Amino acid sequence: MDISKDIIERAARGEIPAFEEIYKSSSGFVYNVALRISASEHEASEITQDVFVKLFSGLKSFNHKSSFNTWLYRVAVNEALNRRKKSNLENSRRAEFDESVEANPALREDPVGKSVNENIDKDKVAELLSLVNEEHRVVLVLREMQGLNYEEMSRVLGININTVRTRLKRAREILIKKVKENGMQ
Amino acid sequence: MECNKARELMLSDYMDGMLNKETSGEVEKHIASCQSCAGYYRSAVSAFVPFRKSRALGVPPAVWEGIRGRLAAVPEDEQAFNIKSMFEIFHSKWANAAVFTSMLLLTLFAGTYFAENMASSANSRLRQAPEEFASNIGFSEFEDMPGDQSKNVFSIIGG
Repeated sequence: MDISKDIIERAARGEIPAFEEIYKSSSGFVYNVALRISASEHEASEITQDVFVKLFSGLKSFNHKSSFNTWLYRVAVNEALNRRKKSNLENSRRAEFDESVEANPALREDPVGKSVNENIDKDKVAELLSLVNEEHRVVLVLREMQGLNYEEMSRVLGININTVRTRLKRAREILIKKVKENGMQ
Repeated sequence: MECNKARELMLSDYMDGMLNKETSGEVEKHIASCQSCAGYYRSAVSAFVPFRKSRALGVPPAVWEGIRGRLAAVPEDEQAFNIKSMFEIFHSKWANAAVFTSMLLLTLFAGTYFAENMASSANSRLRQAPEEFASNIGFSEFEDMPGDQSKNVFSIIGG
């Protein structure tokens, strides 16, 4: 994903075709990271939209001192994590609501509680990622799926390389353990 | 190499191909000689096969359409940004100096103008109604003064 300075500057001036170039070359990364962190195609689409809308207005303040990709990756990961936190909060509220529905026979026919996780991707990777927490999920996605090296991950996540290494090792340890416990091998 | 160290490296630098040849060789030597770690390494590799086999999914076309729609609805924000950027000119030190100097000159000019205006207005009032002015400043004995003396008093006060 190489985006020239000229394209970035043109997009920063509001030229939609230039911005579309940026979108074409980087939306795949944003969408797939969002999909793996949020575990929902619908959420991934919304996150991707939010990231690029933010990017469009933020381009004006981009100073070319840091790598454009790093900047974009960071926005994408943060957006996905924020959305995930919000979604978790909504789900826990929904769970409370479901419990109250279960406890109250008069409300049982209400269809609201059914569609919470309808869009969850049921493939093997999604299943594996669901076994670890968000912090570990992010490093696994960036390393195992997007192929970022430790230094790139360090810049995207704003943590030092040793923390990246430790977090990744821990994420793998937990995943291996849970795979065994769940008989998934 | 001990099992703990070998497993730590297996799940980080070794798995990610970031070890130098020598350390990498030590890990491999350990795996070859330790059944438990060999089994652990096999579990690690197989746990991550799905990640490496998975393909990136294409972005649904509706995403770009949504972005275009939202960008089209942004002009107000853009306008706000442009107004803001207009004011950003004041962040330049030369622009700040120019504004400061203009304000200083304006204040001096206005001050001089009003001072002169007030002095000439006071003067004209003195010339037109010396008696009224004298009573305003509490000169109650004015009426008793001879005409020539009163002129002298006002020439001292008002010039």
